[in-house]
Amino acid sequence: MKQRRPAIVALDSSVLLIIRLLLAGVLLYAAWLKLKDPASAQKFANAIAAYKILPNHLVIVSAFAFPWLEAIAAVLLVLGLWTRAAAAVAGLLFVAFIGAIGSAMLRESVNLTTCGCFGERSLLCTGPPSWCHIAQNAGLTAMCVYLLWRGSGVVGIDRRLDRRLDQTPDNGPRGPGGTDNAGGPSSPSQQASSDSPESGGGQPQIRW
Amino acid sequence: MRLFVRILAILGLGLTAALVHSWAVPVRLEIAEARPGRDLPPRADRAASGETAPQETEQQRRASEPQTRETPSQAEATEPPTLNLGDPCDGLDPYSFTTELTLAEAFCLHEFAMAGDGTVVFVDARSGRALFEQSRIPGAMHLSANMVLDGDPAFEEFLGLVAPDAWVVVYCSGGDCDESKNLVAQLQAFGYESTYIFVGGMDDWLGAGLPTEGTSEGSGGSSGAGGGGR
Repeated sequence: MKQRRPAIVALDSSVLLIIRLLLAGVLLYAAWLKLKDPASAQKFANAIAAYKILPNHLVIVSAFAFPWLEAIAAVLLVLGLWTRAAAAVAGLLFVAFIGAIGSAMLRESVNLTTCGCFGERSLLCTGPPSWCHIAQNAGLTAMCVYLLWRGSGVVGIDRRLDRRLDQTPDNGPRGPGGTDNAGGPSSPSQQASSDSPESGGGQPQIRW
Repeated sequence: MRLFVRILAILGLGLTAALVHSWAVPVRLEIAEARPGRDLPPRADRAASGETAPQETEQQRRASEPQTRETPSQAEATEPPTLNLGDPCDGLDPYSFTTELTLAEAFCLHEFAMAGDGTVVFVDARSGRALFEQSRIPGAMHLSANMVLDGDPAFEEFLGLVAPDAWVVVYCSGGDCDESKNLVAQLQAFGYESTYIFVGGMDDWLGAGLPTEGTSEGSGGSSGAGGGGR
């Protein structure tokens, strides 16, 4: 109910921004390594096939879909556009990866030499799928969940976009960005409307 | 609700991009079931290796320099010094093979051919069937360029047995023999893109003491007994 102090808002937004950039960096790196040339795409398809989870007809599509989703989510996270949705998609990907790695560790018929998570490179963990990979993905998932909960923070397109979308039904169509640009991050009257499910209800001020 | 719509939008966008991209970039799957614990080669992406050199130029080249048959065995001597009978593909990447195979490369692909799943097929292109029946690389089929031209029943059978995306390794007696190249030209016309010529042919195979099958060789049987005469 109480108004947050600007210092706390700034700190919180910086944390959110750092997490967004970090996550976007990891995602872009992963996507780039898988999409940069046909040979990489082929290797990633082989890596997915080696997990023996997906049927063959889905392996090739997913070999392209995973990196593209990573890339799109990364761009959206950097822009702060649709942050929650992008974080949710990235989180789903990481959870899927955790499931794949876990199942590969459990099944003895699957002998992987590499995780395949970052093409031929690796982030923190090397070698075949291990607890290290699961922990790494769990950490990334946690970041996604945090963003899903908190949204983009002050820095980002979401803030303006959502505000406009929320106000359109009440106030009718607005001029293209006039008030939005003037409003800036600390305009309390415009923070009143919120679309976030967890901060809806009776706490209009707590909306970053 | 807006969140779900956006998530769906992102998923849809990613999937669309993936579909377009997978259409533009040829990625092929290996058939993984045949040999547990080891990868089988997917069909060759031959765009890079500059395959389909027209057969005339090959023949011209050979006519101008009749000694070129020496080069494969030299190359083979420099690339992998000895054959690894335990793991023929050790240190080799089948995807990087050019259209002309060295002995070690042919031996590696033969390992896949022996899996018998049709991913890799060896074809004996020597013109007389008698030679084939006497002695051949284990598992090889017999097919010559003339049989293709004549629409021989054996070729009809070949078309039924060998999928167009299989890797077809063609060999003849070795040395200066032309049958392999002629047959490969014919097969390519029938849509077999992943065709390889084992240039050393029977000569190199026998010279390395690798097993054969057929009437004259005491039917060496399966691929196990390698290295006899080395």
